[in-house]
Amino acid sequence: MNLRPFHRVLVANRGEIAVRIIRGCHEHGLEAVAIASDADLHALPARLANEVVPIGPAPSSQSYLLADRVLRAALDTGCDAVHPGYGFLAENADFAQAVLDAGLVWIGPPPSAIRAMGSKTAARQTMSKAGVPVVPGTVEALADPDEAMKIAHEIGFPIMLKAAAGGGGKGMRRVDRPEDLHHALSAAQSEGEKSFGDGAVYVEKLIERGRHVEIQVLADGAGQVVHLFERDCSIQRRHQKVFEEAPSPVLEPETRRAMGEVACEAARAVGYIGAGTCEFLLAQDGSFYFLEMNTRLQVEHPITEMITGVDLVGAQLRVAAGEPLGLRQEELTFRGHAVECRIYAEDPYKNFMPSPGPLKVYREPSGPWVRVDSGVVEGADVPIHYDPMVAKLVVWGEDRAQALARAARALRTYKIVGIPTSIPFFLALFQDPSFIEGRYNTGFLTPEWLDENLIRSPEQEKLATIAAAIASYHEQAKSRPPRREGPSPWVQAGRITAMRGR
Amino acid sequence: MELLITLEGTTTAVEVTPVDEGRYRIALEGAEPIEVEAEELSRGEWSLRVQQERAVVGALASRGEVAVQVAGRGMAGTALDARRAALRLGGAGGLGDVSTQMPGVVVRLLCTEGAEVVEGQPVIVVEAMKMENELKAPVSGVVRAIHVTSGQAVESGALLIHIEPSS
Repeated sequence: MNLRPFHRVLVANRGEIAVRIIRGCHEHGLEAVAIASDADLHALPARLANEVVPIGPAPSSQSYLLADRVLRAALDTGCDAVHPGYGFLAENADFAQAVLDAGLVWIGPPPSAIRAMGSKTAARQTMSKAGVPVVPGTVEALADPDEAMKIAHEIGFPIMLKAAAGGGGKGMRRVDRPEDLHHALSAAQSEGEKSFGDGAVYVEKLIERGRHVEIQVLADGAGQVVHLFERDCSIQRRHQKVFEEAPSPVLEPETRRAMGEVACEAARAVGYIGAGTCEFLLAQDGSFYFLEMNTRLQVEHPITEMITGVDLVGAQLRVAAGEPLGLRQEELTFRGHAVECRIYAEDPYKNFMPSPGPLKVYREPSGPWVRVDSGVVEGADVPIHYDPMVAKLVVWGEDRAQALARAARALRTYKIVGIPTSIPFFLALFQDPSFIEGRYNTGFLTPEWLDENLIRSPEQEKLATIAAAIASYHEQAKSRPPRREGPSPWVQAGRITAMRGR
Repeated sequence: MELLITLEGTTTAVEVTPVDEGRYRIALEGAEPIEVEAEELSRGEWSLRVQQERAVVGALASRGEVAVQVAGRGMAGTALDARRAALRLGGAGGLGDVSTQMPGVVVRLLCTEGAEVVEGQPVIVVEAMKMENELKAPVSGVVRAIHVTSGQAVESGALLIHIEPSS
């Protein structure tokens, strides 16, 4: 690992996380170079960075995922460090190695740690050996459907099929009945192949009514490892997080401590450096299982920043520059409660169907303890080529109730005209009595819940129709030529000519 | 002016009559007109007063398209002059039509022309935003026409497959 000071960082990402990293660089006196596909040339990262390198056509396979081209962009613009953000090349060990081989600083964990955790099957083996509890299932990729069936019968249905290279909910399938296994397996393999270039799939027992709780860790090059407590990410649709909060409303202090220690242990086991996250499944009885370690910054990192006051991107930059963490576990505390609402270009009235399109009007909320991380500007399109997240609304409060009240207040003033978004979902979620009490798990959000809770109010629909009619009337009135007093200019000109003739 | 406002697939006939600066009489579907005060606060952001209730909503119209946001909910649709709209009737959306509601790329066809399919059977996979969506046969019947090929980009609302319902 080249841990040494650097001055100019290539931000190998797009959207809100590119913006977050550029801001972090500038706050630390570093220059930031953005890369932009054809779809992102005018997006926010391109406006904020010191320099922009066009990286290729809109599809990520022809732009953000091209390791050679991204590295070339760094070298051509005189960068001496690369920050990968999340997604794209962030967990690509070969890319990390190539960055190091080119003599640049890699703002992320060592390639060996990425490899050890990148394959979920390998990570399960490593963690089992280190004495970390893992969910029952296979520790190796499935050879064929027959093997899948055999193992599924051993551990019992329902099971989860998961892509070994997976993450972000992709390449995952729940299987309740043996007859569905074949179809689900090929679907998970196809999605794994498509999203991660690896169709390997393994089996886990499905633990019902579990919560997804994860621990943020930070490690420096001198071997110091600390954890920054947990985030509860159990509100998910399609196995993807949509709302997160910190701390978890249900975690007991002893469990928090135990989970934190296990997460630090996992980081140490793979020689981790930088910011990473250990994901756990918290069962109803309080027992927990290691799911995976994400060897990068997480989407939901701001809620940890809000409750601990630790700048995670800043910590990444300092650790990569060879500085010590300077944090001691016993001195770390958290205060209050933070929530994150992911504003997606998705329609919660249609089971979160993606709704890409133009942000005709886009105005972010503000106010006390309100933070919006976004990468878009008014007038831009939410492109179809990438994850449909528009922004993250992050809010802090003295306690959970205050954080939720503030978030609701901010959501009601978030102006997005042009596409449906997930905003009404959060407003409905914050009204749900179970949610208000913190009683929820990863199975909370179902199509049935959406049907029952996202009210189609006739009053609101009437108001929407009236607003649409008045805006349309105005637009058409503006585009009509104004009526003139008297005859047309042609008639008048003719008359003048006729008068002259006299 | 009579407008046909379509939001989220529901069309409403709206008669808009200007009364005064910033005041309108609005009749929905031929009902008794109500008076509405409207002021555009900034581009696309309106203050509406409908029968004493004030609300700040988002609304923007452009060349026949209209988008609104009320209580956080975004809706997009069309606004047509009722006279012109009368000329535009007809089109897709038949009983056995499989169409996509979002722009994307056809990943796989799961049926062939002439194949018999049952209601609910996946017939095509369309990817948008890195997510594969299986579209299912809306009816049982015979696949009569496949209008797309694997790898093809499709627009929102595009007709992909037609299934002739079995009697």
